[in-house]
Amino acid sequence: MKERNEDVRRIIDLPDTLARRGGDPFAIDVSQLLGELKGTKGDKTTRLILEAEALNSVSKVVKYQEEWVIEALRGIKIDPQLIREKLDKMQVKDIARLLARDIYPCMGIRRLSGSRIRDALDYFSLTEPWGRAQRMGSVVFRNRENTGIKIEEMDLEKEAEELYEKIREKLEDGPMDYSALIGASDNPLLTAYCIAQLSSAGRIAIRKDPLANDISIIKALEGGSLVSVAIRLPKVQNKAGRA
Amino acid sequence: MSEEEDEIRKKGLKALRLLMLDTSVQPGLKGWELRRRLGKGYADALKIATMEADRIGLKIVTVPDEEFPEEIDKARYVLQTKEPLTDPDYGGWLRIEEAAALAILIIELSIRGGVIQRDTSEKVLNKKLPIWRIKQILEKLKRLGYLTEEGALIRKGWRAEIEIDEPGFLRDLVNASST
Repeated sequence: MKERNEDVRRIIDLPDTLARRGGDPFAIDVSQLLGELKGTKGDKTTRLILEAEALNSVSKVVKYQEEWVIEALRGIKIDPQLIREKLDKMQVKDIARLLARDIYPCMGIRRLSGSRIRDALDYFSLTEPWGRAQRMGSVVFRNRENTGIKIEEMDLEKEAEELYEKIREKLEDGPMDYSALIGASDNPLLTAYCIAQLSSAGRIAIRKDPLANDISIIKALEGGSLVSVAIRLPKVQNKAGRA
Repeated sequence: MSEEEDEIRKKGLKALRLLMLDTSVQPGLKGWELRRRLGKGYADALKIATMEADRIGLKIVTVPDEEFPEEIDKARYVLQTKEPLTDPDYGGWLRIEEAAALAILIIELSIRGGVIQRDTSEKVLNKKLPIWRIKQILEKLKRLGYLTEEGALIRKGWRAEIEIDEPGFLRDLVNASST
């Protein structure tokens, strides 16, 4: 019993020994250490304390192993030309994706004015959760005192259907420019809302080119994974001449 | 909990809230800003804030001032995630091409010993991006604290130092497929 517990104490001292003497932490067989932990003896409290301390030490050994690999990698001379050639062959989005694995960003709530937060709350209180509503229905008449936004009751489903009929044939010929469609509308906000609803209902799809920041409307996609995108309405002059 | 303990805990939570708010283009707050809002005991409040941040997967990092590294009032305190993003969703402050430009410059700076001429950096980035966009990106990365420029020399900024795991990034790049 005493010998077994001494083995466990040896495990507990391992990180200190490694730190003092250095050497390759991979010389320690972590799986074997974990196996040895199962045989501790004594009353329940003593066993629990010993096992907890030993487990903590094993985790420190694993951490040493990770640090040792990084240090070893630092020592490896990597040919700069090889790295540059690799970067040359990679696409911009793949380089960004690679960096994302190793970036630990600073956090902070982006500056938003109180009025914009109230606008957002009003907007979301008027809409059904995206993609959940089977039918678009009508906008409920509401007059929000705090923002002064007034939305008249209208049949959005009908509006969206009419828009869909207008653009359906054009989409057969290829993608349509989102900004151009919004700009040509008498009511850009309504058109944008209808596009969003048609897209959520799977009738059409939106394609965003992150490099050029171009947004196009395309035919509905079959299969694949879909993501929501936030689109800032472009500043456009509508037919009535309003900005 | 005594009144004193309760007071420190309240200050700790206030420190955490303050660090979450963006008060300037660069994240976090300087020590003197925290002192102004929390009083002299702001160092204790930061300890509580550190424990609270840990519970939601964040940590508080101290960035010493370059000129006065010993003075805690001049250090910057920032909240940072404990896990990497894993996905190129940069939360709106970096676009895909900006992140890629930062990645390329980090590699070049690593190869060149930490300094690169502005002209050279533009040439390197020009393999992937148009020159007008490069100028915008360099300015933005400087503004956000990822790069610094003195004369015509570009170096890593404090934010690149604390946010990017450079050995890990080099390792991932070596292992990445080129397709």
